[in-house]
Amino acid sequence: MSSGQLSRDAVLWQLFAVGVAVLPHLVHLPLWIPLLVVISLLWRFMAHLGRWSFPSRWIKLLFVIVTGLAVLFSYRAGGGISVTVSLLVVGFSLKTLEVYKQRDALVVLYVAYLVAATGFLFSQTILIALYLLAAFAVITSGLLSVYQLRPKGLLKTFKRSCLLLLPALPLMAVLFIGMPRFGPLWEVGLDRSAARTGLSETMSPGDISSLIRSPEVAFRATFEAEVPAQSQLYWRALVLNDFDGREWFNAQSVKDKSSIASDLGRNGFSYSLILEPTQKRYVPALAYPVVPLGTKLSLFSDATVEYGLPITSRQQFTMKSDPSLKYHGDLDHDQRKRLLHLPEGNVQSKQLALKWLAESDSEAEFVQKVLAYFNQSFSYSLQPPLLGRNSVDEFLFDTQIGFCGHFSSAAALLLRAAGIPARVVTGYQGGDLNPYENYIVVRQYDAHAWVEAWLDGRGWVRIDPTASVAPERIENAAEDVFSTDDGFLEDNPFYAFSLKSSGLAEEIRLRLEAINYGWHRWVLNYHHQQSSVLSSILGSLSAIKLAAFLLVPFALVIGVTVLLLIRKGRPRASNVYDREVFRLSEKLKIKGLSRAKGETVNAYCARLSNVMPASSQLFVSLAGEYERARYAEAAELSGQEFSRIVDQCIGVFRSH
Amino acid sequence: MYAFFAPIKRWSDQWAAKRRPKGHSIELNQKRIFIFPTAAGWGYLLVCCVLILIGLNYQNNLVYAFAFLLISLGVLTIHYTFLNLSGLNISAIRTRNCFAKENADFIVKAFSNCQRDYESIELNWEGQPGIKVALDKGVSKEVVLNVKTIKRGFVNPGALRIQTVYPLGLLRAWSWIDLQMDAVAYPIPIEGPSPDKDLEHSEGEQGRSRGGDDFSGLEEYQAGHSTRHIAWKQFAQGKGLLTKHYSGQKSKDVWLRWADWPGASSERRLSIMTYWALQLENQGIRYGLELTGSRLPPAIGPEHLEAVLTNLALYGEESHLRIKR
Repeated sequence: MSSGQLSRDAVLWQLFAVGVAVLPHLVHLPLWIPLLVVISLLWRFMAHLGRWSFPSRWIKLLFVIVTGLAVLFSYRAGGGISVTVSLLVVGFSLKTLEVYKQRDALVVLYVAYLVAATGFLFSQTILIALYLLAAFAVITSGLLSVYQLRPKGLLKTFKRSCLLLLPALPLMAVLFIGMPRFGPLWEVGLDRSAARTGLSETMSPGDISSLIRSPEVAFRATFEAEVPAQSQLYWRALVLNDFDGREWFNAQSVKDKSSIASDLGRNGFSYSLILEPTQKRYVPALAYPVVPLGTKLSLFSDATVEYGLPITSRQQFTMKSDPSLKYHGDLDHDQRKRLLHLPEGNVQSKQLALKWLAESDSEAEFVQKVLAYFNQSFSYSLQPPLLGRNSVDEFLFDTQIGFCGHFSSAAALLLRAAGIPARVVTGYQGGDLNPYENYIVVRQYDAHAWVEAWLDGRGWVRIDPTASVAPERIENAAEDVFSTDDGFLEDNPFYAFSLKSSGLAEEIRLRLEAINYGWHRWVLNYHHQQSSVLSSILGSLSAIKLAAFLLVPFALVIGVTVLLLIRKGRPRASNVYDREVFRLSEKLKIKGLSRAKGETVNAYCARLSNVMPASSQLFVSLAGEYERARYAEAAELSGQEFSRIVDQCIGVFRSH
Repeated sequence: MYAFFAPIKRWSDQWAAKRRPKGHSIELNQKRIFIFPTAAGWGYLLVCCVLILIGLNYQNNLVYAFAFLLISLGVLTIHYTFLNLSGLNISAIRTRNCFAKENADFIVKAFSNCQRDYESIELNWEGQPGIKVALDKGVSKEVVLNVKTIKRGFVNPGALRIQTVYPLGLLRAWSWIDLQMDAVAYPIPIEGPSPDKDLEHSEGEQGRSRGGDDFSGLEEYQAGHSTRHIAWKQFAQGKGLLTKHYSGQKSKDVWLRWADWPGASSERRLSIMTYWALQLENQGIRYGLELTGSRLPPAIGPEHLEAVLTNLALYGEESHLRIKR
């Protein structure tokens, strides 16, 4: 059955399906692969037209060897799913070259389904989803065309396959909502080429500026209650405790788990984060987080939160924070020593710190002096001069231009030199509030670095030296502050353009962003909402209820589909006389006098007149008129007259 | 291994044959339609599983959605495939006899009262190549199914399989029905000695002598008249089918008797008789048939020929089935 030759229409559908399935992959595949696809499709199309001949076996063999080597060469650095996808794409575009029989077509189409679906591993926007839904219909048309006996025209086949697909959509929705989701069976990583920007594990002056040029979304946050003020939105991600004179980092790879209780104080609030993939484990959190037991999140003694695995795909977390939470007993000797340690160098800065310390009465006063100093003559820029070995000295006394990385690095050093334990915290500051959905988008350009200092009697206190240089940098979203700076978003001309528009354009942008947010929350991250969605539909969850939820719609949709097909297929007499006899038979059904299957009208009328001997004349005439109307050359009675006789017959039975 | 399963297979075949609907016109319904995934259907399932795995491992809900759409479509296809067979009516129309080792034709009609199209339905007799048909709504279609015969006698093609994999090839729906159609395979004609010595030497003169016969007029064509004597010229003039009548045409009846070919095996005898029946029919000479247990008086014409050939074909088979004339 599957060895027959393909019809001409079917060949065209195969080519079309392959093209449609490959299209979304073109952006991330090495350039030669799309070229190969085009050549294969073109060659097969020319063969279809009869202009070119099919490639000989040697040419095909050559193709296989060359492309196989090319894939190996293109991905010699490794590339996870990309390699698989490109092998699939190369393989099935070569297979297209020799599509001739039904069996070939099946291989091509099944792989086309796979290739189309893997498009979602690289992009998950609404547009891609719509596109791939259409691609699904095209591939299904290809499959349908393989089994069509008579070519019906490309458009008709497509329409037919859409009709087949339509009832499948509600079933898909039911499966999507109800099907239980499980964690990954084995660990997979997206390839490096698809890696997203994120915070670095270390910070040296200049690091964050590459992030600041990116408008990519870092995460989105929804607050259950009121959204805290911009100036309170310090999303702590990483705490860097060690300094080598230029770079801040963490010398110890193992961090202490926090022993804090998981309940909140009066000031607690909860929010949920949808984190974009970073390939790292950190999860930004507002000060100071607690983590519910039984989640994959771990909380550390420096009040940072980490996920159990590197975050390779978009993840959603429910978080709780309380700014008044105390994360410390006291610093022990080792901790204090570590937090005060400074390497050699940066001598001038250390001296300055000691001088200020001598002038100050308290630690708080010293901190004020540091901030005041930054406020004097420093300026904020995203394109500061490069710094050398003693980066802090050069920055403080020489260049005096920089951004958060420079300021926090210098401030932490000054604090430590004065004997105040200090550490650098990197993360994000602020975010963009979307009024339509009441959530905050935090983009990479919101990346920020600040300092936390241990003040006796007060514990860890957040100090943001950048705020004293450019306070508006903190009080407004980064977008507003930086949009005058040339370095800001210089790699994204389109985005920069959209920033300058305002009013209506801004509203549209926010609306689109809101739709996008709903898409992320309800579709892309559905597995986090599933239990709450299901329990809101079904009440308390049980296996039986879930099974019913999955099966009942299936029975319903299938029932309706079959009913529609059968109703459409109910026998309908093509002429008025048969219809009228049918009407009579239906009317008499209750009396058990319907026409038997295969019974002639003549016999039926005879049977009726046996039941009603008084009116037998009527039935005889009905039978006679029927015969004449159907089998004589010309009908003597019009349909209306015939229908009147039928009415009389019905009337006879009604009066009894 | 095969020997071990043979009794089971025989038993299940018998069971299936007993359950098989019999009749000259059979409508396919849920009681008679079987459905099972094809190899392509299992492949499709594999694609679904691979996608679920990808969705699982990459925690990608859209890949899940794609896989769920494939699964839903697959489940619906069970019904689409079933409905492409359900309500279809197959009836036996007629058969066309043949000579042994040729193809006997069985003509069946497919139609449906249901107002929907039927696409790509394959009909085949057990072990015979299939024919695919498509029906537009409300249109019936006659299908000629031929069966290669092996030897003379009744040709019973066995059960007819009606199957379809439309629309997506994932499932095969099929039904076995027994239309109780029989054709007859005549013996293979083999040239042999003439049944009548006169015929043998008059044969050479026959053409001549007929040419010398006097044309005596035209009479209206009746079934049984030799088609060689039809007056085509008059027919072309629109005067109807007329037969030329020759006054000198005096046919001598020829008997084909079992005893006329002593020495030949019985199958060979039947073949030679078949040959001569065809020859005599062709030459316009009346001929009769005498076999043990049956006798057909001399006559001529296609119907007579068919009766003679059928009797020859069924010689030795159950006598009550023989066509008597």
